[in-house]
Amino acid sequence: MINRIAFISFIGIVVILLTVELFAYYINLNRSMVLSSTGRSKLNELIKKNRTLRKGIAGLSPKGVYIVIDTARELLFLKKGNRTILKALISSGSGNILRDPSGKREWIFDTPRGEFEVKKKIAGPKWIKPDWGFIEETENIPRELENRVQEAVLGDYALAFGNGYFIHGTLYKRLLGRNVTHGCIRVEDEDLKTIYRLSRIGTRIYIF
Amino acid sequence: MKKTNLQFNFPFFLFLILFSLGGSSQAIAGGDSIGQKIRALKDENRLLETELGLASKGTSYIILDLRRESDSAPVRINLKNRGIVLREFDVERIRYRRTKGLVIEPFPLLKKMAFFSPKRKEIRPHKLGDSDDTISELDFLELKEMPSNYTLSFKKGVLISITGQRKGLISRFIPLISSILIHIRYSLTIVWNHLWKKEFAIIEIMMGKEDAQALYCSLEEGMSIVIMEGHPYDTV
Repeated sequence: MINRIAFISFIGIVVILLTVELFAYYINLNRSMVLSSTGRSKLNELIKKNRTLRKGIAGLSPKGVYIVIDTARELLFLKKGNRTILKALISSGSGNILRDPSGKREWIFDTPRGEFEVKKKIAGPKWIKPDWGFIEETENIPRELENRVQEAVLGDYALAFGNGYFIHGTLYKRLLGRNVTHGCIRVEDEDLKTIYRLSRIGTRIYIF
Repeated sequence: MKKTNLQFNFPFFLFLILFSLGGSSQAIAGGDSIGQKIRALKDENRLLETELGLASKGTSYIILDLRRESDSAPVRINLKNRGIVLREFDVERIRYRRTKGLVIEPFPLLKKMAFFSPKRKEIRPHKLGDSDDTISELDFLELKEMPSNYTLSFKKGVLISITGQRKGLISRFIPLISSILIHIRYSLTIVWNHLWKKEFAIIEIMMGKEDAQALYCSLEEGMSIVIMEGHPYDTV
């Protein structure tokens, strides 16, 4: 008798639980169908916006070849899209300070950071030595321009990227990989030839 | 006989209960997954909009994306300009605490703070030797002189501490002391900001020593960072 009652009670509880579960399943199914129809259109809108934004960002990146200069690791990368065409060891700005003995002027030899572009390409460049070059070597600053001109110091090629800064060659190849310059970027001859050949006026340069 | 029936039917009914529970939870999950996708896409679009704004300016910026596809997928700090990645820095470990969810917007870098900041050296004018190969050994700021343990302070109370991992037991001692001091400082910052009801976010990042030094060198005051959070309250 007791066993029968227990058995019937158990069956009753199971039936009630199953009924509740089925009811809950039906409610949630309906809810997800409602979510699906409005949710899907919202999702599609967002996907479309996502594509537009990605396209917008991609549109800002340089077309063709560009140059990336890592002053921390003293490396230059010549790139096209995500592909690296050339990786070169460089020397960048020392960060040192030079003060004019008169106390009126001061130079900080940093390589500038940011986005630039090639403004001029020069084969067989000559260096017009600036005032700081003479002050650094305790020489008198010449009045005539021709006394400032130095040949074969900048290597075979130079690419100007504004404000007197260049990517150029160097006589001091053993110092490549160290930041020893007065702000310019020094590159070894063969690498410089490739960079000069593949770059054109307007090629973007990113320095960090 | 009744006992046998009960023993026979009990597993069957248990199976039915479990089956129906599974079915209802599937229905619940199906609705939530679209909601999750919508939320994730909204956040991603917000990140892309912010990046588009920064990329249009032509100045370098940083994206710290804490979302990961899996537990083993790496987190990276990306230094970018015009949408292109200039350099990726691998992060070994990351932990963050904040008052509420970080808004996806650019936070400009206010200051780089280290116990030993590199100082510029002054050139002493001198005559060069006659040979072109003779270069006096000047001092210059080199990568190895950059700090590997430092704090970056951004606007709106965002602080990022970078700890450069060193190898060897003894060489871990200094960063350990540095980490303890940073931890004390952060605890004080949390209490201070809480008392003055200021919002804040503190992110602690551990990375390789050379990467940490290179990152210090690459960052400039004024550069913006955009942080995309992973799962809320994750310790990555």
